[in-house]
Amino acid sequence: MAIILLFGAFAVLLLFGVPVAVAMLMASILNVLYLQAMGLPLPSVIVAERMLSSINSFPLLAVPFFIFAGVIMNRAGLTAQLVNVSRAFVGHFRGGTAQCNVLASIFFSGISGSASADAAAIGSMLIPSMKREGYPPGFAVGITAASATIGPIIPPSIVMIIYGTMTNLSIGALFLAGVVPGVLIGAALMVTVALMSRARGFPRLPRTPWRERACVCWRALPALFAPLIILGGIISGLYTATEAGVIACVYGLAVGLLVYREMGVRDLPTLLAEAAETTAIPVFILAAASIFGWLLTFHGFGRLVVGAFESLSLPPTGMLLALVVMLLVIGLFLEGLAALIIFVPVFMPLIPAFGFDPLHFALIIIVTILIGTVTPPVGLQLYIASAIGRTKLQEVVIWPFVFAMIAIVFLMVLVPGLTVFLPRLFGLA
Amino acid sequence: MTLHEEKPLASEPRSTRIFTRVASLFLACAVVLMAAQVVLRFGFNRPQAWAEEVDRYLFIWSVYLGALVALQRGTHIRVTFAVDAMGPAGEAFSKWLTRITALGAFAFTAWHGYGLVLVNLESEFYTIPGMPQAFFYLAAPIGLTLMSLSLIAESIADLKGGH
Repeated sequence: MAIILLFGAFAVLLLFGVPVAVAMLMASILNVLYLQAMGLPLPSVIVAERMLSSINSFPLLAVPFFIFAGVIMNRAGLTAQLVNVSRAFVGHFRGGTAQCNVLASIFFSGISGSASADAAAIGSMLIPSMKREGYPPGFAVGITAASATIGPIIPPSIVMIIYGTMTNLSIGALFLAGVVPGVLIGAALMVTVALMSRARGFPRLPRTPWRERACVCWRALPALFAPLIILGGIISGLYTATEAGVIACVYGLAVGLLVYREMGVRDLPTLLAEAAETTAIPVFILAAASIFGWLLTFHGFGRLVVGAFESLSLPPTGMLLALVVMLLVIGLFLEGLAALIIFVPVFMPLIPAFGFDPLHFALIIIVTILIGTVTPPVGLQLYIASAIGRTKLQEVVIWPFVFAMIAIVFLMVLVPGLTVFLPRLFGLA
Repeated sequence: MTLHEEKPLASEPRSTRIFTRVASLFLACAVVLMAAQVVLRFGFNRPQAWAEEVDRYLFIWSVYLGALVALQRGTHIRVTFAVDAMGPAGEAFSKWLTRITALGAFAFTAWHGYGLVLVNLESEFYTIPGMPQAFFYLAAPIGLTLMSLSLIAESIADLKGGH
């Protein structure tokens, strides 16, 4: 009964447009008051306590650092350089600018940890040019939203930092585990674009000569080099993910101020303001969700879910596939970060119960939830991309890309090596 | 859901500009402190234990003030497909439901947050003896109080302007 009230209040508030964090907090407070009325000795102070202690974590500090680094690198002109490189290499394919959109997202993923940042940065550069070249606006928006999900799959990744903080899993290991799936999703999207472009006769750009390609790559070298600095340190064990975040900020500043010189010190207050606000939004959801998650555990929701899964009596692989389908359905209606924070603790007991590899399990959950961020009616990346493209949600072409990404998730389920190979190779798992 | 609006800071009301600056300042301090920590660790092999604790608290302050800014600018993530389908009346209903819900939730949590401060009045930083932990515990109640006040001010301005 209490669980139904908790979810019911949350769903009603969410449906009427109350912000996710507020809806979670209010549903939890009502639940605490209800339990107290039922005679349970549950102190109200737990709400305030969870709102603080849940975000009082050193690994979580990587979130603002990577967001700030992404904001700096975008302002410093690194995004534009990455788009230039992508255009030089895939622009002459059929549907060249759409292919460039995907490839630029893969490159951009190496400097940014957020899908929203990816959708906004790449979308604002490429959606207008795609429209000018005659692509249907709905297609341009769809491929931007879909490819933006690669942002938090290829490291760095805000979602992985939050996942690692919640589950005590090594953030470095999660980062490495995301590299292969991220590239595979990019490849799957490029194949989908190629097939659709051939069928619809999308335009191609003139081929870029090798000499010019070399020039473009040389100019983009600081941008292409950034992921190596971030990942290299974590792989070698030289520094933690949090320290890598701050090193990325310093690197971005150095490149922006000294190499590209597209920004000045006077830009810093604006960039800091953007980073502070962009950080606060997800972390505030995390704080509000922690009491919600605590109540779910209190009500024994995890045991219920594990029991339900056990009653399916499927083999472990079948169990993972069932989990993917369930998360995809949840992703249709629930905002991604909220889904992650609510369901990850609930699913944790499945790992020992079925003998899953925690990293393999983590990547499947993370990628599936990210697919949920582009599926209507509730999909943050879709909203951002369609706002940039000034296109109605109903016109957005998203499902071919969603199916391509789901195919990769199924592949990840069947071949655990795709996720766990790299972390094991570098001794992080 | 809302998009991070590219509205220039200068066009925001004064209180939003001030809170943005303060949140930014906390974040800037966190970045500088962590950068200094990295230099001390690699350059001099002398990492400072207190830096990590102080950095965490700076981050939490930045989050609560940043959430206040996001509240004033209306950039918190929300789902709007149902509200959009209901037209202007739905939007007005959603606006007031959000205000009342947020005010109730924030005021409740802030009140108990002050209780938490009082309980921990004697606590000190783990790494800096003598530094009161109240600095950490105050972040939530002060942030949430400011959010509550902001909601009240916004509602009053709306009621006055609307009629």
